[in-house]
Amino acid sequence: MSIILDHVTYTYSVGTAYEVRALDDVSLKLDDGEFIGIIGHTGSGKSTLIQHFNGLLKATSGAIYYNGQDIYDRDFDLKGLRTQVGMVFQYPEHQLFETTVFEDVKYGPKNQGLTDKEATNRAFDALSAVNFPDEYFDQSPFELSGGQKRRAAIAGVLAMEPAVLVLDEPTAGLDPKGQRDLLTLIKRMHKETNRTIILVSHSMEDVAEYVDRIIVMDEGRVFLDGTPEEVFSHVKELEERGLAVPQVTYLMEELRARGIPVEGHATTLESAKEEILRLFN
Amino acid sequence: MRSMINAKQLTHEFFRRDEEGNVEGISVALDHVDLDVEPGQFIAILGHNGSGKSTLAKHINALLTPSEGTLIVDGKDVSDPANTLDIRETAGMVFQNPDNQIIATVVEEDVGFGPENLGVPTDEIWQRVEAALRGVGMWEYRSHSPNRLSGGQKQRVAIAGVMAMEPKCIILDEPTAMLDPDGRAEVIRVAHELNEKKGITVILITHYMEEVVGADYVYVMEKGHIIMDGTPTEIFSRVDELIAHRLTVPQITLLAHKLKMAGMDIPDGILTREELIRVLCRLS
Amino acid sequence: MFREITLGQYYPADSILHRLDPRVKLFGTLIYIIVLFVASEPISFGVITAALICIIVISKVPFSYMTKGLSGIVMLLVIAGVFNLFLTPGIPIFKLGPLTISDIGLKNAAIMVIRMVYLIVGTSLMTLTTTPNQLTDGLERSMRPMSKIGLPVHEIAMMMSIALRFIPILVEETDKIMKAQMARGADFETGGIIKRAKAMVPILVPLFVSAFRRASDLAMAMEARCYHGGEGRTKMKPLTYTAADRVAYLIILLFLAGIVALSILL
Repeated sequence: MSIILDHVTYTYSVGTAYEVRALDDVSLKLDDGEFIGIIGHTGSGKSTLIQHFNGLLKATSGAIYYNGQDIYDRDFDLKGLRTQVGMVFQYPEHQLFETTVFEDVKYGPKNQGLTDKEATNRAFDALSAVNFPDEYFDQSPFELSGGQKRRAAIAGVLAMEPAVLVLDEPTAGLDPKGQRDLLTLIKRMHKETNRTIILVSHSMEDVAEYVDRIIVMDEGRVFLDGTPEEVFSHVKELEERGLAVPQVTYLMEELRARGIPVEGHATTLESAKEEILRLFN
Repeated sequence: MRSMINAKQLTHEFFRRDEEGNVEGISVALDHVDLDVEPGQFIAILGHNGSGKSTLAKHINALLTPSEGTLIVDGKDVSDPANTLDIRETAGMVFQNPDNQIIATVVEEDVGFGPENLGVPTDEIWQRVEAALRGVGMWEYRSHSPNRLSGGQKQRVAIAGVMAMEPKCIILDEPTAMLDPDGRAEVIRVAHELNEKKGITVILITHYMEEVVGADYVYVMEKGHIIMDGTPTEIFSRVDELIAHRLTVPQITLLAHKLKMAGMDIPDGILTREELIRVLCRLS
Repeated sequence: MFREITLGQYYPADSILHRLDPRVKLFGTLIYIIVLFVASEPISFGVITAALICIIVISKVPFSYMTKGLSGIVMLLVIAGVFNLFLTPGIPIFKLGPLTISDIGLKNAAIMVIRMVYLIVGTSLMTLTTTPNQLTDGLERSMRPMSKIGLPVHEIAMMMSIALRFIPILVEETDKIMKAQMARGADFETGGIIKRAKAMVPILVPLFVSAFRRASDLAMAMEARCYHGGEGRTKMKPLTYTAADRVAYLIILLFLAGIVALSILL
C-alpha cells in the first residue's frame, strides 16, 4: 500500500497571464503506516500537493500511483480513491451542513453506498474515535464550540474509513488547549490504527514533536525529505528559505557554536533536555 | 496620569435563549473584572476561547456595554451612549478574520473608510491614509485589491484602517489566529512599532504565548475572571500554574523549567533563547 | 474554475479613462448603449468601432484581458447568430439542404453579433476602469435627487459596494466547499435534475452559513470604525469635474450627434 508521485508538475491557469507553476517535478513515495509532516511557506505548493493525493487536482504532467495503480487510468475509480485517501481541509467545520452532527458524519459513508445501518455504525465509531461527547450527537453542528465542530468535521472524513488520512493544518485557529488535544488524538489514532497520516503544518515544534518523516516544500519542489533529525540538521538552508527550525534545535546549535560539545540534533523538548542534562551533569 | 482604560467590577451577562426566544439561563462572560491600563502601555490579554477576553475587548470599543460595573476609556464612560462614537475614535479595534473587516475593494479606500465616517475633510483624509499606510509598511500596496494580499498584509491594512482614525489606543482581538508564522510575526512587529514610535496604547488579545513576550504587562483570563497578571517574566515564572490551566508555555521557557526541575541551577521566567544560552554558558 | 471570471472586474492601471469621473463614464456608457441600438449602417458601425478601439487603447487594459471574459458567452452568441442567419426571410444567397441564408439574414446576424460583442466589451470597459467604490459613488451622486422621494440612496450604494467586495471571496469559498464535499464522496455530475439539486444542499448550506457569519462580522467591523449611516460623512474621493471630464462629456455628445446624423442622412 503506497502512494507514488512520479515527476508530477502542476500549473494553475495554463495559458493565461496568471500562469503559476505550483508543483515542479515532484517525485515522492509515501509508504503504508507512515506519519508524515509536510511543511513550507504559504504558496510553497503544500496544499496543491496534497490535493493530488486523492485526485482532486490532476497533474499537468507526471503520474501518480495508488497501490501500484495509475490513478489517471481511464477505468480507475477516482471517487473510490477519494474515500481511500481521506482529506480534511483547513477549517473543515465550514463544510458541516446537516441538521445533526450524527447525520453530517453519515454523509460520507452514505456517498460510499453503504446502507443506513452501516453508515450509522461508521458514524458512531468515527465520533468515538475523535472523543466527541455522546450527548452532542443529536445537536445541530452549528451550535457547537470551535473545537467540537472541528472534531465533528474530522469524524465526517474518518467515517469513510480511509486508509490514508490527510489533514491540512488541522489546528489552525484553535486555542492552545484545542491544538494539543487534537494533535495528541491524531498521534494516538496513528498508533492504534496504523493508518498513514499526512499532516500539513506551519508549526515546526508540532511537526518535530509528532511525526516520523518530514517533507519540506519550497517553491513547488521537494526541498528536504527525511526524519526530523535529518531535516532540522539543515538549519542554514532552512533559514535561507525563511523557514525556522524548532526553538530547541536553534538552542542546541548555538550552544555548539559557543564551544559546548553538543551531540546530534535535538528536535524535541525531551531530546534537548536529555542532551543538556548529559552535558552538565 | 489619567488611565487609558479603567475597568471596575466590570460584568457582562448573556441571556441564553431557547428556540422560541425565551430566556433559558444567563451565562456570565465577564465576572467582576478590574483592570487598569496606562497610556502608552503594551498590554497582552491571554486566555482560551470562551475565557471572556473577546467580550472584554468589545467593551473597550463600546460594541458591548457592561451589565454591571463601570468601564472608563480615556475619561469617557462606555455605558453612556452619547460617548459611543468618541470612544470608537479613541480606541480602535482590529478583528480576527482579515477578510471580514475590509470594506472596500482598494486598499487606500478601505483605510479612508474610518476618517470618512468621522467627517474628516478630504485633504486630511489623504494625509491620514498616507501616514497610516506608511506606518504599517503598506504604502506601496495602496492601489491593490485586498483579495490579492496575504493574510498578514490584510491585517496590516486593517491596522492602518484603525490608525487613520488617529486613535490613542488599539485593541487587537486575536489578530494572528488565522495567519501563518510569517504573517503573525509581521502583525506583532507592526503592533510593537506603533507602540514604540507613536506611543499608541496597545491591547493585544491572543492565545499564542510567544506573542506576549514583548508586552509590558500580561493579564491571563479564564471563565470571565482575571486569574493571573504581571510582567511576562513574572507570568512565565509560574510554569506549573500555566500548565495546570492548560496554557502553553514557549518551548524555551518550558525547557528551562524542566531543566530546573531536574536539579540544574536555572532561574524562573526564562523567556528567550539568548537568556537560556547565557545561563547555560555561565554554568559550564 | 470560477476564478477565471474576469468580466467586469476592476483592472488597476493609470490611464485617462481610469481618472475620469465615474458619472462621465456612466453617462458615456448609457449613450454608447443607445447608439449601438440606433446604428444600423456599416458606416455607423465603422465609427463605433473606431471609437471603441480608441477607448480600448486609452484604457491601457490588455485586450486579451477583455476577450477572456467573452469566452463564457460564445455559445450564446453562436446560437443568436445562427437563428438570425437561417430564420430571417429575404433573398436567398446560399442554400444547404433545408437551410437557407438570405441577404437580410446575413446582415441581421452580423449586426446582432457585433452589437452583443460591442455591448459586452464597451460596458465592461467601464467596470474595468472604475473601482466598484467609484462606481457606487457615481451612482449615488447621479441618483441623489431620488433620496428626496425617500429612496435610501446611500444605503443602496453601500450595499452594492460591499456585495462587489465579497463576490470574489464567496466564489472562492464555493470552490473550497465543493472540493471538501467531493473529498467526502459527493457527486455533482451524474444523475437527474432532482438528484443534482439535492447534491447542491451540502454546498449551499455551508455557503449561506458562511455568508451570514461574514455579514455579522463585517457589520461589527464597520460599527467599530464609527460607521453610522450616510449622515455627516465626508468623502475621500469626492466627485468633482475636471477639465478632462468636461471634454469627455463634449466628445460623448459629439459622438451621439454624429451617429444620429449618420442614420438620418443615410
